[in-house]
Amino acid sequence: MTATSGSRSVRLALSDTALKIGEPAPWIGPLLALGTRAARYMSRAQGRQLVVALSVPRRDYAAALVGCGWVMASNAPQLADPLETLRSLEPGTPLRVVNDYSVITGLFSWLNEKVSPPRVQFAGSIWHVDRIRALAVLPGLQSSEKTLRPQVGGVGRMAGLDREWDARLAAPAADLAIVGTLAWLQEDFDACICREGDGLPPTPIRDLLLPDTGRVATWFARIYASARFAEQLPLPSDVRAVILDGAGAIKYVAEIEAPIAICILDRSVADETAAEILMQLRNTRGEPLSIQRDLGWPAPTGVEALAFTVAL
Amino acid sequence: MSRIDALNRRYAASASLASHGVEIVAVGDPAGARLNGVTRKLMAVVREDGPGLWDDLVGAVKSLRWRLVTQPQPIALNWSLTNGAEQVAHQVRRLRGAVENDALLDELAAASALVSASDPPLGAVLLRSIGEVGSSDCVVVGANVAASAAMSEWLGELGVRVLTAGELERSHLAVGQSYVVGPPRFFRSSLVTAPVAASVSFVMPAWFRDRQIPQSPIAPYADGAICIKARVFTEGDLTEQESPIAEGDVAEDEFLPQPVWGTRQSPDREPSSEEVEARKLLLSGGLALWLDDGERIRALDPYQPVGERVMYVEVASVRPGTYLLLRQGVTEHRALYETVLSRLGDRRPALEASQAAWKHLLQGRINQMGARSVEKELTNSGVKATERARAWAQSNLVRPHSDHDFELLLQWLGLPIEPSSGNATLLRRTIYKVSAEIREQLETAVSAADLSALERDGRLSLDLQAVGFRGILATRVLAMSPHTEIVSRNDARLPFEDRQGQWLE
Repeated sequence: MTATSGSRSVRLALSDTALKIGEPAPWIGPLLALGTRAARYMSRAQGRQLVVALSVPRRDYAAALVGCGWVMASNAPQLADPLETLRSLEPGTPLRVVNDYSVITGLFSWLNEKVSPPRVQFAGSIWHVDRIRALAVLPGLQSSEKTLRPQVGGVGRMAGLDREWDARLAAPAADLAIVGTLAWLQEDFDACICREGDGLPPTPIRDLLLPDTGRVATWFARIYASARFAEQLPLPSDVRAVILDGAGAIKYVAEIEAPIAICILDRSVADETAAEILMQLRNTRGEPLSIQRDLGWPAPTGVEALAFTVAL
Repeated sequence: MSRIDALNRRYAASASLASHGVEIVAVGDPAGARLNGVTRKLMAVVREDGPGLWDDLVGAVKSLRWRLVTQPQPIALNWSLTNGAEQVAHQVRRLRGAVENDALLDELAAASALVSASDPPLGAVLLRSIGEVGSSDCVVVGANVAASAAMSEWLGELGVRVLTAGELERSHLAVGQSYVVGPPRFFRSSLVTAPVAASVSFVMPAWFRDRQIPQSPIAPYADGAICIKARVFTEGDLTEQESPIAEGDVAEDEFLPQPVWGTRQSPDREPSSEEVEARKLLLSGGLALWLDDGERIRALDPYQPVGERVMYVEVASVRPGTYLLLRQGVTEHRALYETVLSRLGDRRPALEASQAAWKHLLQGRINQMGARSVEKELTNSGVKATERARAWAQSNLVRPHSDHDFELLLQWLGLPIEPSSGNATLLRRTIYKVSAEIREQLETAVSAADLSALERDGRLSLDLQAVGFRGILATRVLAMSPHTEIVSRNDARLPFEDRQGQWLE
């Protein structure tokens, strides 16, 4: 992926809103690339947890960018043809459906193939099956939701997410969790990312990361507030990577059992407890890794990074 | 300036300092050097005699030395220095006749009188440096709230902004130069590894020999580690710099204002069921607290946004600087536990019985084999967090965090996994629920409070009458004892009056 080469070829840029021109910086691409590298490392995890500690001058955008990199590296699911899937369903089966405009979750009621095109009733409404772009059966559903179909955006295209985009929306890996200060993370998600000088409209980070901020029909990443995290442990077992953003989140590192834990240390905060906790974990239970050699990730200027593995 | 602009500047400033380093201006200060020399003599005597008698004098002298290094304003505006010198004089008078070191007491009295008799030379150098850059393009950073407030009274009239490192971080100022008053080791590494200004100069007395630049805790092992170099310039009257006792005799840490902890007083035995091993914490506002290694404790981070300030922290991550939220009169845990048990209704007896059963067995093993042997056997069984074994046996910690650890522990105790695991998990879930409700109430109270008072005074009373609580106190941890003591379980986590922290604030 071109973005992973950071400052070498393509520079990425960030802007506060889609209306502003992005400001390129040499640290944006590498942070995105770290998420991708961590995802690729997964196949080599072998029962051990990879812990990456990243110290940045300020925490802003770091967790969101690393998260985008993780999402961009995820494989697209292979989904069967919607009609075929619908034929096999029992009434009451929870579904997620993607059409041209929306992503909808709801319970399946019936399929009628006697009309053309076939119709399906789910989530309380009747739909043309030929308008369904992707469909996936869900293991469970708390409430029926409908949200606008997210757009893939220029940076997503660069990573090839436009291929199988509908399948990704219908059956996302949803294996990423970000723990941090909710209000700050929300501000980060509102920023937009683009390639310097490509002329394409910038992509909101929110559309790349699809954070689960409640009442959404599909999401790629679960989001937790550090302040309330104690009451939400343990994390669901399908979470494969956790980004702990800041000291309040990193304090929980020992309780994270996902194969990948990426810790964002904010150097602008004087409290060094979080860094000390990570060093203690590394020195007592960790086996050091070279982040450059083993993960293939050179730290950009202004960023300190170390990695180690611990037994799960 | 947009948030992204500001962030780009921050990355650039960090890179700039990493390649160009910081400047240290070491200023000759004969009077201060003399006080420093006598302080070293005093420390040597105290090391021979042991603490006790000397504690208050040592506290006062260290405090004066700290002020000398961090508050360079002219004497006419330097209440802190004159008051510090008076405190030393007072303690010297108290010790007259009680100790045989009259010559040392004379020297201390003379040296402390001398530093409060003339303007600190550091101040003149600082003023000149500011003049070179211009007051609008620089900022002065003080070592703590008191130092920056005092310097602000002096420099504020000249249009110079004086802030603490924390205030500078939150100020969103865009300045090219910061003058930091005090040696680098008095500051956290963030000041130089995540600098607000691209140029940083430390202004400190030349007699203070430790000029090490702090680095982030991960730097020694990190790729891309940021190691800031220093360019040292000396100026002023550098006579009388040699202290009578060789450098390196006493580590600089011993000269910093800090409590005298002595050695552990408790006997070397396991605590009984009514007791806990606890560490003493000194808190702002003349308070202290015994903190046991049990459940998480409620803390407050005033720099988080509204609604995300109240949190739970592991006991192991409590540090000097942490703000604890403490109930007056009763621990939060006890109040929480009572509410939880009442919510459990009919299930309460069975749940209490199964919790008591496995904890009793574990405590029995600890009593029989000793905690270290238990930890070793548990490690051999595959349990991860074995260092928590003693805490698991206590009633105030529900269960091991990890399901895996808990199951292996139960097996090791010879118990079936159920109903112990299910009951403990139900108890934990109920505690989380009640605790989340309390958290929201505390958030509401905190959002209504003036948190700037917390940074200024180190403590703040929150009035929670409206939500059915007795008073809650937010207070800063000033220091933590390096060793634990055995204390009554009932005394743990309740703040009490204590004057040991008087020289720290």
